[in-house]
Amino acid sequence: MLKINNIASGYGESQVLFDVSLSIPEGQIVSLVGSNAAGKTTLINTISGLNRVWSGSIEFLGEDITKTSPADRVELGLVQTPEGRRLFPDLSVKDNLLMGSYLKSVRGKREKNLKNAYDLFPRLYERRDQMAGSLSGGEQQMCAIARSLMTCPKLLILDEPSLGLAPILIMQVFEIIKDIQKENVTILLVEQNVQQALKLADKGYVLESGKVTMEGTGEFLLHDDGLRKAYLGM
Amino acid sequence: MKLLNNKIIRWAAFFLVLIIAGLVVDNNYYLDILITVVFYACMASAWNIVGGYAGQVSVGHVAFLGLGAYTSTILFLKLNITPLIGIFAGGIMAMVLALLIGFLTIRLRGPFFTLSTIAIAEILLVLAVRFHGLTGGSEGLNIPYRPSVYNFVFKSYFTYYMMFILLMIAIVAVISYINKSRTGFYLRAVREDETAASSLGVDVLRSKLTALLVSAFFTGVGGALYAQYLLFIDPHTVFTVSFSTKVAALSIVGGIGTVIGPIVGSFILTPLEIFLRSQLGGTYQGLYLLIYGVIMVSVILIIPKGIYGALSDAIKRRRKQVKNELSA
Amino acid sequence: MLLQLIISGILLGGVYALTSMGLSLVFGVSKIVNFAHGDFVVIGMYSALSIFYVTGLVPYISWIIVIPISFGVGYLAYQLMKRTIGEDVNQIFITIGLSMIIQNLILMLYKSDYRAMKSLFDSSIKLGNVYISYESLLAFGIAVLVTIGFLWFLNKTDTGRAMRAVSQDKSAASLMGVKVEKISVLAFGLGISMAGLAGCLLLTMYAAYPTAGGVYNLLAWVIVVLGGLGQVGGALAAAFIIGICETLTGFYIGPDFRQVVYYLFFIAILIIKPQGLFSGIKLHKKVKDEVTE
Repeated sequence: MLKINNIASGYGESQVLFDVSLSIPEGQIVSLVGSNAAGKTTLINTISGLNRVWSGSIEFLGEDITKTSPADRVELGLVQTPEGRRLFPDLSVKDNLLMGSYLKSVRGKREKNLKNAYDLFPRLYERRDQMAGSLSGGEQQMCAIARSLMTCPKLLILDEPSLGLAPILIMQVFEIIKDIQKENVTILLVEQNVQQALKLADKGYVLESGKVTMEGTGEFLLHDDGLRKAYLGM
Repeated sequence: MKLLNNKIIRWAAFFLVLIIAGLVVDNNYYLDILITVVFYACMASAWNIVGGYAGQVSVGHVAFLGLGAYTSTILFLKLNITPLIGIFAGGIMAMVLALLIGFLTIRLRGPFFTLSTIAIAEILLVLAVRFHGLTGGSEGLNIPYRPSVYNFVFKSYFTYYMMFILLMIAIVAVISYINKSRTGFYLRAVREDETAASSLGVDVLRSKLTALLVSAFFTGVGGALYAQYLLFIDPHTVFTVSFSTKVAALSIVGGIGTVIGPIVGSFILTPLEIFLRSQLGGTYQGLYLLIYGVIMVSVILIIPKGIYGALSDAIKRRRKQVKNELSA
Repeated sequence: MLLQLIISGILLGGVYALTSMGLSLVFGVSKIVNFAHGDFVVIGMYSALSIFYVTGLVPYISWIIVIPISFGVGYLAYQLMKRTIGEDVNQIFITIGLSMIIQNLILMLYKSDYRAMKSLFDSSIKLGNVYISYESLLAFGIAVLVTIGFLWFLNKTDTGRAMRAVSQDKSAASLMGVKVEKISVLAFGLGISMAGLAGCLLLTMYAAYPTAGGVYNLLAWVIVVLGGLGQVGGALAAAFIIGICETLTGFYIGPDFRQVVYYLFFIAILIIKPQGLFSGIKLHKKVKDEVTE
């Protein structure tokens, strides 16, 4: 569904990504793990188009999107739930969700999607008129995920959905990710929570210092000694 | 060749040429043009200390000019204190105002600092009109034409010309000194990256405040000198915000944040303005300011570093190229 | 008399609200520090004046024409300025340069005379001791109408919501499929349209002259800062305060002091409460940071 071919990218003068390639098959959950500052966020911002590609190419659904604008990528069904939730703090919860269905192509399904979102996260329904900035961390994460779902994504990129959440909420979030996959959404999951992320994943990639150092099925990576030592402390 | 590379000698040569030019023309019309050019070069250079080096854009600098002009003129007319002292008193009053403005507003982010400087200039304009007992109100103040050193009024335009040249030498010297000093280093650091600079222990506010004070002092002195030259001041000439925008425009066109830029700006734009005014004056009121505006916008869009900045970049590039060719 | 002044102030404030909401939009959404905002108000004034000279249409009608004219002017100005977005200093300079261009273009075309509209009405409404001129009432009415329309647009339409989203987080908005650049131009054009409309309405109360932009520019900024950056509700309330403040000082202290009072007000607010008077309960640190860094 998504193919990244040998891309390099970075900020200003400093290069962050070196010759990164990966592919995400339709319908799967692919996890991207790695330590802090390994370049994970840079990579997905490059996928979303917020970051320019220096060299290499990105294909989505067989189409070259290397130079497509972020907004147009969303139109194609490539949707990111950004790290730190990035809600619009002075917009109400409902307005935040409605922003998710800003695109004309999904406005028709707005009512249905909103109902789905409230069904999935009843908490958001209770708080629909509250400013998003006043939500708790967990609620904000739900709101961010719900907002992305409003866009009817074909590929959903989740950046650190478990960040800063209590363990019980983390479990919940991973459950929800599984549910989303069942709705025929392909998922690229970026996580520091390596064990959970790989358990869930059909396929995993390990990113270190801007390079892909390992790839394989989630199961395979979970049992790799080097990886266990480096990330799981075992 | 080696001698010419020396900065001090280059500056000395520059000022010498200016002085000789003043001696050669010996004609009050052309001397007036030279005086105006040098005066605006001074004001633009002074503005550049805070607007260019410290990156705090003041559009209310005319407040310092007006305060300097009024201080020396009022001291002379009301208390018969010689403008020789009055000029420095004017500079000091401008510094006092700068201190007040600085304490209140220098911590504000760019645009808000700029807005408050405009507001302060406007307030002073209204006050100058209102307190006519002291300031002569809208009619302004006349300095009687009685040439003497004590009165600081001179027959010869050349004497005034020399005064402004001296002011310019002082400004250039102080800017060069600041550039080499710790404050100059701090200011450059702040301009590059304010957050980084302050986290490295640079006292951002203090550096900016120093720049503002120095800039205000020279602007105040310049205003007082200018009053002595014109022998007349009124609120709408010495407190009008458009003076500040003009001065800022000179720096931007010449090259902001460089010693030479504002001087280059004044030497190009001021004669142009005088020419346009004398040619078109009555028929197309405002045309020269329109052209100023167009030049300013074009420079920002096309060569944001100004004429001097663009030239020196080009020269550096050329040198590098030549060097590469030589080594290859 | 006091009541009379307060009511005149409110009527005036309604028109001022338009300029400041426009500025708020330009600053908040398009991220342009516009120091030429007042000059766009003056363009509105002279547009209405020209329309009157040519067709005889009065500002109460011609505002419908002035709005698209202003939008066009705003669109062109945006094309000029967009390259400086994100560079505060260059933006200040380019808008100041633009302001010089506008002021002197008007000066060349119309000379420096004060130009006012002759009053259309020879009577006014009397309520008890208070006189209200038809002019200011009509202008106020149009201002209120447009404000309500604008608020509806901002809160209830997708484009309006996108504008609010862009003002809060550009890149997050682009992740929702919002074309930020488009929204930015639109917001700028809309902001300038509101300035133009305000100018058109002000022409029924005040004379137009080429450099009036300086006054209206500071005025708009004073109101926006007073109301709290980017807070439309705050800007509305602040506009009424400034309107009343202006009529009161004009009467009790002297007309030349009208501006002095709100300039002092402005500096005081920036120093004491940079987040604005009406930031109230949901005070976001962000707003304060925008003023003081």
